[in-house]
Amino acid sequence: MSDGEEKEGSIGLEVPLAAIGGALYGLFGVYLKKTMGLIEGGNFNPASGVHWGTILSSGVFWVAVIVGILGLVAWIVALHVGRVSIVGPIVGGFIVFVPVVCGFLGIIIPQEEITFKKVIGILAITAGSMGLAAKGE
Amino acid sequence: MIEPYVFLALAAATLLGISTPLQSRGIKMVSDINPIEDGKIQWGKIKDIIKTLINRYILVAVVLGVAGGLGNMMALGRGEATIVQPLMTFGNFVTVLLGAVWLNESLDKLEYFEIALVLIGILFLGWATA
Repeated sequence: MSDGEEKEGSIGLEVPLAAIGGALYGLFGVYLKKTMGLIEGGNFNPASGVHWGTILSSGVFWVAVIVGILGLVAWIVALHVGRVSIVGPIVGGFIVFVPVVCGFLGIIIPQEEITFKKVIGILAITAGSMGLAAKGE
Repeated sequence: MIEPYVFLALAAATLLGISTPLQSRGIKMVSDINPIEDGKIQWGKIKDIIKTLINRYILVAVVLGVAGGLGNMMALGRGEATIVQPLMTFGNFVTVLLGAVWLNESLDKLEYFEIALVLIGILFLGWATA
């Protein structure tokens, strides 16, 4: 069986795997934001041992790591079984969609303000990057 | 004035965007090595894969990836997730741009339109923090 035929046969999996990968990777960003909230003022300094101590001893950071690794695995498997032109935009869309929804609704992280400029910016950047993700991966 | 964390997020996304094609190029160097022959794992070939994986493309990609990841963490600490995470997709723009400049890949009208959308989105998100 050729590589092309193999991909044809597993195309039904590419969309759910890409969505799961993107959603988990989006959640990784959300948990990372929550972890940064543990540092006073959020001013994380990579050279500070105290900051790393706070991060590495928090359960939230390890949740972020596990979620990030699972997301990456799902993403790689989706790319392996599917087409970049389909997987790229779906993953790219979910990576933006999940943190935005969590931020706007105050899920996991504190609620953030919804403004017109923000919504336009998010829609434009999501539409553009979803298209570019089909080519760029 | 636009908040500094917007520029931090864009810098982090740029580093990650540069790291992606370097990773691909580095990984392609091992694609010719098949560690399974006659249904048996060839441990010598696995050693070869590991040795080949430690190449300059992968090393530079790892350094850029770590720097980009730390930049993302710093930006997330200082700013809103609803601004920082969308800005991180700027990396796709950088990857496509590098493909066009370094690898002479051609861009069609739709891709120019998508690049314009990303830039407009960045302007609006920057403006939202002003």
